[in-house]
Amino acid sequence: MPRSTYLSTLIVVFITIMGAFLMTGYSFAADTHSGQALDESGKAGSHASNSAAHAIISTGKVTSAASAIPLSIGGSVGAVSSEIANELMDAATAPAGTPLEISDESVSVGSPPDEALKTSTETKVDTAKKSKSETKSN
Amino acid sequence: MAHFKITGKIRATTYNITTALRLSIMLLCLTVSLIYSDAVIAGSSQGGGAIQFKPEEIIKFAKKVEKRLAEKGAKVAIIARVGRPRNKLPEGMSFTHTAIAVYSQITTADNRKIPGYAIYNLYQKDDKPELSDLVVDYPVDFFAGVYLLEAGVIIPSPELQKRILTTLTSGIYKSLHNPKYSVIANPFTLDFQNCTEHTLDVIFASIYNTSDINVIKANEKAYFKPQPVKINPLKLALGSMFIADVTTSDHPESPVTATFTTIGHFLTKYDAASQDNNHST
Repeated sequence: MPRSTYLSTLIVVFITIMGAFLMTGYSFAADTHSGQALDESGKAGSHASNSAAHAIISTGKVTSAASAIPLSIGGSVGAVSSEIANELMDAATAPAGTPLEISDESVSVGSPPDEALKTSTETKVDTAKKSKSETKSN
Repeated sequence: MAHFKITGKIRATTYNITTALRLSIMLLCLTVSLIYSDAVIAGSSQGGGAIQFKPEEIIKFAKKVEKRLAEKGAKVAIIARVGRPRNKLPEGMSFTHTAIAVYSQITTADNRKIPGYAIYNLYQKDDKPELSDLVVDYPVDFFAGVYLLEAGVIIPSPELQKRILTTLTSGIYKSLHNPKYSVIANPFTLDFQNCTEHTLDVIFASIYNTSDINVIKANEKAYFKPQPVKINPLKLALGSMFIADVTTSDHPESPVTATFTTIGHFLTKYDAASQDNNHST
């Protein structure tokens, strides 16, 4: 067999395998920050993360969370009692198995950094406008 | 007879046995590849990065799961989600991500303190899927990109909940993290780790009150029954060669991995008070 034909065949076989393999997408279950298993690549997963998180945040129905501490005290477990709000102390000291209070509010870690960067300028402008109007009213 | 010489142009039209053999090999490759692609093409097109449900549906579902956990008085729960269509998952695997939910005081950005669940995750890095980070998020974030509005929930016994909390709030939780990620990590070795293996390590560290990873692995090997990875060896080999976060190098024998379901079986057997429930809409 001529060398060039042999090489061509190899290339076609390789391209065929790779092409079909890429068409399969990602067949393994993966767990990205997106909450969406990767479909094609890490980048695709990233995109899913941004779009899903952004869509939820843009509803205005979730509150951004700054931090969380386990609400359980006893021995060395959980938060230091001084960090727990008085109204949540009952829940903190309740034994496991006792029905717990839960807020009706939904919280989120907030927009992904790239989305937040897109909106940071607008936020600054809004804040500046607000300050100006507040100053005027005062 | 037709002879194809594929060098950019068809130069002749004669046909011989060598050509037939080459074509057969190509057809075989194509067939093999397409056999395995068949089930996944639909998944990629349908769930290719877009949110699967209306945001309001996700918010409602996430709150439903939280309320259910709170009703049960769960201060700690093992929680799982479905990030791909079930029929696209390897046999025996029902969930794609496992984490630990902890009843918490959440401080909002406007400095209010409200009760809810924070979720302790091991997530792949978006730009480097072969590496992972430990990330705390909340139910809405956790379920944001799911394919099914369904959650796997295991509520450990009160004693195990207390011990897991101790592990989480000590440095042990972080010390058990291995950032080298493989989606099919072998739970009995230290080479790679995925979200479920990290959760398993936290559970074993809590049960045995230890941060010694060798003690943890020895006991996992003795008492934990993993899920065999039922993926065609050819596909697995190709995945290991071409996909950053898939490797078989930590599997000296047939690949096995930890799953939410196998953790459930383990806790049902050894932590009698555990509850295993699936919540769906």
